[in-house]
Amino acid sequence: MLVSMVALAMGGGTALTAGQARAGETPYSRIEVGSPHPDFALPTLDGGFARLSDYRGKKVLLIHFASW
Amino acid sequence: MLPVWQKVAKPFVEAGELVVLGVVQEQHPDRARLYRQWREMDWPILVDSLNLLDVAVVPVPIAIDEAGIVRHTGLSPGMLEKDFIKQPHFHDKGTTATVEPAVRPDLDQLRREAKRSNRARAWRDTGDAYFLFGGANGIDESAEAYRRAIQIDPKDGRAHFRLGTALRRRSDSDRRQSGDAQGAVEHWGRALAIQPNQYIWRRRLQQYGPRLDKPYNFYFWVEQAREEIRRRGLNPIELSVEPLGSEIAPPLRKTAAADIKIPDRDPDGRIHRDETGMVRIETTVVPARVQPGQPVRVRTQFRVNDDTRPFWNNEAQDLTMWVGLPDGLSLGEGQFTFANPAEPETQELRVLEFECVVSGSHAPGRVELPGYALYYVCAKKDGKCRFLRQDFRVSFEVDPSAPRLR
Repeated sequence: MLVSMVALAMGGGTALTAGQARAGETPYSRIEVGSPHPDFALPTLDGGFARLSDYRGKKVLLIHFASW
Repeated sequence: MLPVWQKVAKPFVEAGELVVLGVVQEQHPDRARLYRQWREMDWPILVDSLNLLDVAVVPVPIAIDEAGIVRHTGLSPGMLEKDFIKQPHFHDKGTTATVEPAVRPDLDQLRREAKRSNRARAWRDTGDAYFLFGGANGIDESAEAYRRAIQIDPKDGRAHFRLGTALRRRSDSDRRQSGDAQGAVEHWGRALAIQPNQYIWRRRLQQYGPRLDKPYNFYFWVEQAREEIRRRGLNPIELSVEPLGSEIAPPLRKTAAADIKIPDRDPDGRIHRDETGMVRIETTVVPARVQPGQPVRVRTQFRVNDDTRPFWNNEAQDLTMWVGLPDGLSLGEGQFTFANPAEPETQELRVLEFECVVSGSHAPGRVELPGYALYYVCAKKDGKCRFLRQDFRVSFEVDPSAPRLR
């Protein structure tokens, strides 16, 4: 599976956004088994924001899906 | 697939052994809210309208351990417990560093920095930030930043896709500008031409596109969801933009010439024109560039003037539309009459859609279809009702190098 973490990938900083992120420029970098999943932040359905790293310390099943 | 994951994951979530985090690819977030309500999903769900994570296909489950290490990218529901939940060695990997709280970025600073560096990436990032954090006003800044990125790097597919998403978002809002919906289609098409294997981008065009190009009917579930939610005694979440036309139409598997005659009710142009703009007509052609032999879907939408707010007069004749088909185009299917609702006066958005197929031997170049609509509308100010005509044009490009949608 090809997933690139570009904008919003955060390099350990506190800012949520792209421009302040240490985002990798490599397009379509692979998410590889055994490697850290790049962190990201996105809006939640309820109006806030959440980051993958908010769930550090727990097993996470990240499911990308669509409602269509 | 999702209901299966829900069922399998539920006991582990309830036992505190697992967090399921959904990321939904969706132009209209409130549709995902309705979907969540219908499916009774109790996971945190994030929205990636801009496709920031570059996900190219869905559904994709990724198993990530306590230290943030990816453990599986092709997990099946049957593997969840044995191959992920019950794998104790994951606990020993990495660290569980404290995560600092997230903060909102300084949008002005981002824009200043983009202006200073004038790098495409900096402008695209600025567009992302304004889209996500800029509120209602941010959509204009976002679109402008993506345009700047594209000026510098016209081959940046992501910037094209995200500009399309921003323009479509604006076209569905009170900040809409003429041409936004068509601009979205144009930039989604450019994005797909740059990255033809990006299926999320392809699906965004197919969502609004011809039935012949559809893999399935995208929002067929909305009515079913509402019925089931009401049966539970709940109110379905309201949608700010109702899925209409192509978004709920079932796919077609082969071209069928439509047996539709479009009556020309005013061939001599004698009906008074809507000179004060009581109704705004906007046409959108999907895709904006089409290969010879391929279909386009034309959405014609009629919106009562946002400022003067007149009413449709539903006690008179239905709104009708005429479109002239030039040589080399055949009608695939179409709706040219909007049936009046039962209420005597309404102000709803009216949408009529039709499809036409470009002949295989059509020459490259601009195609223009003349059209007009006839409607009865009443002014809010003095209550006077009028029968009016408004002319419009539909145009698109026949381009042998255009990406195909299927």
